[in-house]
Amino acid sequence: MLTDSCSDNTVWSVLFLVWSRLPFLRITLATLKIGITYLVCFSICYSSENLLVVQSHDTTPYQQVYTGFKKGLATHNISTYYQTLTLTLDNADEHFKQQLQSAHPSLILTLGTPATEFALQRESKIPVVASLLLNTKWLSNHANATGVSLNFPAEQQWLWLRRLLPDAKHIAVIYNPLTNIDQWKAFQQQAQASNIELSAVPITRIEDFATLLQGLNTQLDAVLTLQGPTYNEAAIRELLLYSFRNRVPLIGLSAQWVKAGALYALDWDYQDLGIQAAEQAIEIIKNKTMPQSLTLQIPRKAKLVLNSQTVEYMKLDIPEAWLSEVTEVLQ
Amino acid sequence: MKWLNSLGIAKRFNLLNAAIVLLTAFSIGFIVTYKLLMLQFETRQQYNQALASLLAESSEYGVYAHQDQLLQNQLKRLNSLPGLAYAAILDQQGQTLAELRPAQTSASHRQEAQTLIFWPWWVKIGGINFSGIAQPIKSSNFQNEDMLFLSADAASQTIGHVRIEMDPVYFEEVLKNTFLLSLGVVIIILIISLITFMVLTARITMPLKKFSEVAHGVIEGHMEPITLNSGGPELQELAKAFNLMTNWLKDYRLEVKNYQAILEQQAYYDELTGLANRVLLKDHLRLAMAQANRHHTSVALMFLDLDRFKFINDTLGHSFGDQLLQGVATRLRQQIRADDTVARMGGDEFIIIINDLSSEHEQAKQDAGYIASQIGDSLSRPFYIDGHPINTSFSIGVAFYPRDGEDEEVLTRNADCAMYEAKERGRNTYRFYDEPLQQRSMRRLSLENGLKQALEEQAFSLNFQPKYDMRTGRIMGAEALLRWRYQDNWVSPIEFIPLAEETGLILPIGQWVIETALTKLAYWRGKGIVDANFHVGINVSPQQFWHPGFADQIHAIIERLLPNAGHTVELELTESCLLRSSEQSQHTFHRLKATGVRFAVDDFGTGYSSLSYLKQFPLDTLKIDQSFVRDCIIDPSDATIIRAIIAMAKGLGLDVIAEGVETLEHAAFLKQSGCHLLQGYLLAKPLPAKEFAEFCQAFSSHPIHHDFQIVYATSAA
Repeated sequence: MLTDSCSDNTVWSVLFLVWSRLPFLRITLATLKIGITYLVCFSICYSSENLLVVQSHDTTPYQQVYTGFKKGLATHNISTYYQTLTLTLDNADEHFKQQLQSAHPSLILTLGTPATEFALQRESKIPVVASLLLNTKWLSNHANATGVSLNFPAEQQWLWLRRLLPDAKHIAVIYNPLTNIDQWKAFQQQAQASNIELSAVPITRIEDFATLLQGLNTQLDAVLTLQGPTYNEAAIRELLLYSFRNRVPLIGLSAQWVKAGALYALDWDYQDLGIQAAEQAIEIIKNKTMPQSLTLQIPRKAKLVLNSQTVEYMKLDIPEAWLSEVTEVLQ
Repeated sequence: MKWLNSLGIAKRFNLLNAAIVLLTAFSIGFIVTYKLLMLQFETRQQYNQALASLLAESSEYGVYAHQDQLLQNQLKRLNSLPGLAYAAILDQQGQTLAELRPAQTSASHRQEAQTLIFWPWWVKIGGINFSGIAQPIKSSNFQNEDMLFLSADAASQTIGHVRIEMDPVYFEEVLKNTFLLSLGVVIIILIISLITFMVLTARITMPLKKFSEVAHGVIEGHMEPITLNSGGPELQELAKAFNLMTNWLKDYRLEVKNYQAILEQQAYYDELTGLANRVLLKDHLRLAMAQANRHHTSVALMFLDLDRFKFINDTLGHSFGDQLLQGVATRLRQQIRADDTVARMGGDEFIIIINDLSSEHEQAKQDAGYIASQIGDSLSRPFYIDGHPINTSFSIGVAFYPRDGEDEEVLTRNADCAMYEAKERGRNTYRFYDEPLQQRSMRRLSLENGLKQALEEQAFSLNFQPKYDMRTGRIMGAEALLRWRYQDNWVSPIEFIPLAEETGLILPIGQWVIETALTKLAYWRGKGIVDANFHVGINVSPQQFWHPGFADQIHAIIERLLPNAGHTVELELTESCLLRSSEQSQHTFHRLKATGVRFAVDDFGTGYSSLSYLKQFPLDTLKIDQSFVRDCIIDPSDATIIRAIIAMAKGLGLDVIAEGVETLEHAAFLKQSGCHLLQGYLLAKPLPAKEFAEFCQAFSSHPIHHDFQIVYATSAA
């Protein structure tokens, strides 16, 4: 558990200086510090909003979302006190309970699907704003939850596919029929409208991935992946190998996929995702809006990440007009 | 370690170097081999590990997708991997999806696996053991957002294993080859090192060999300096020291040679004359005898003795005598052939060996006699020493080998014997050895031995011959005459006195004579047999007289036996005693004179010396030799000599007494000539002490008184 104080750091700096330079005062000062900390926390808690942040990981995307969230709240002059819990810690469950009891948070920010599931399974009253969320089924089942999804609309994805690969006529879509059926249908509609043939590659078990991949047509113009299936490294590697061997552009799920060899992907502005979540939190905190009444949001910003080496290797002709829209070109 | 000590320094060096190189090469070879093998096996282990990791990674999909054929194909690629015994890919439940057992698993291979030598030893000393590798095959499932971020933190799960096992037979081969290679390298190093060391050692020891050769040369007498072109400063320094040593040895050897020559000269040659000495003579004589045996010839050994050399030596001094001997030696050398030998035996005795004489005795005697005559002729010529002519005579005895003796000692003794015979026969002559001569020689030897025991056996006795004064008609004294009874026979003093003089027994005998004579005199005086003016005449030999303690000895005897006796002792000296006018002689004369001893010159007129001694020494009496008296009546020459002696004695104030007076005519002549003192058979023959005492007691009635009256009357008429 980390204590993230919003008080003046100068005081701590002075105390640290005294602490380090005057060892014989350490015990006294430590005692004093604990007391002051509790006093400060106590005063803050009763004068500002206590927020509990539960995150699946503590990696860069999560940190960026968290930063965006704090930034969003700060712009509305809401004094907040944050407590953070990462699920990778041992005894995360215990910590979660202790923080609920000690800080009485008025809102829980969850970052990532596992963190959202964790929080919603344990708390049903405190409002939960979820972000970095791929699987949104949990939100619909909990009244105290709302959030920002990671799923870009199928139209937006299709649009960029068409823009970047205007000549693609035969496209395979890898999806999980259990979770992505809606998206698949949306893509189907788009394809029919554009008179483009879509090949369905439904995957429910990753063990079947190899078989499916072997049966995949090598004359495809592109392979589009959706977030539904549970991939593993081998599957992704095989998929990328398939793409390279057959010079079939692979449209990835994120910038990391593009780095690994996919042609392009729509990526997120994570800080903006945090701001989006903060806006929902403000509604809940300030306006006392019930979370269930707040609509699940989709990312309002998308970053187009392109692998120029893949373009070059696959001898693709990306229209110049759209190249300027590419947010990031990986080489 | 005897064998080690028997090895040369070069071999020791090589052996030491071989041991060091072997030890070093083996140690380094072992360490390097061990390290290389460890490095190689570590690398191989890492390679195996990496291989397993790669295999696990590449097999992830195959395992995941149960692509057994894919996995089998993957393993097939390892078929040619050396040392691989077994490779397999297993699923999570341990079920084998694919496996590979390379062809080494044949029967012969299994047999080889059972007879591993190097591999167990390698494992035992802590080498890397290729235990089987089990590498888990992991797969990361990306849940939810993880599939977007492809996060490394994504939880992975083990979906299977890759197992790899290595073949010890292969590594046995590797170890064996490596060890054989190392051994080969060690042997090559050893051979190269040994060759190098042998060359170096040869170079190092070459100077030492040279040293050895030169040192052996030194032992053999070649004092050559050593010159080293190699060997470093130490050996150069050693060579310098060695050369210094050889130079010193050269000088030392020369010195030793000189000393050796001197010693040889001293050992084999007579220092005075340069002739061979006894030792060399013995050697030459032995050689001559051997040659004579071989050539059936004979050898003559001449024993030469100079007559009267002792007299010359005593009278003219040793220096004179030495020069005379040198002169004799030179002449002897000139008289003999080159292969003959002349040696000096000592004193005035020489031995000459004449080789290659005829085996016929008469012929040999003739030849030897001729040579002896020639030698005699050469020695008869006077020697001029310090400008003075010296005449010598010689006596030569000749003995022949093998006739007169078959060994050098007998031969020499017989020649000596012959020489004495020659001497007795009249000198200046030579004499061949024969049997009778040997008998005489035996007697002489017997007499010598008897003489040595005579004093102890009281075999000597004294006879007294009275001396008569015609003027007073009284016995004025007596001459003590020594007599020796040997083997129931009386030996003539003429025979044994020279022997006593030669053997040195004359000194104790002389002392006995003086003591006995004075004891008798004391007795007679005590008995009133003789009056106070009676004196005893005692003969003294030159050897006795010249003895440094003679004066004290006489003085002590007189003091002991006849204290305050006055002129009761008269020492009768031959002319030879008076020839040496030395400080010692003067001292003896004056010391005895002070004691009251009288001196008479015995046998006056028979000597060869000058008469100057008559005025040099405090003499009292001249005794006219009996040879003059014996024929003075019939021989006018003797009469003239007697008158001259008497006249001279009177002129010098000396008493004169005639010896050998046997007839009244002699007495009359002497009285008429002025000599009133006489001694001889006319009065009495030499008498034993007892008879002499009786003679003295009965002398008043001796018929001589009457006879002398007639003589006086006749002479007066």
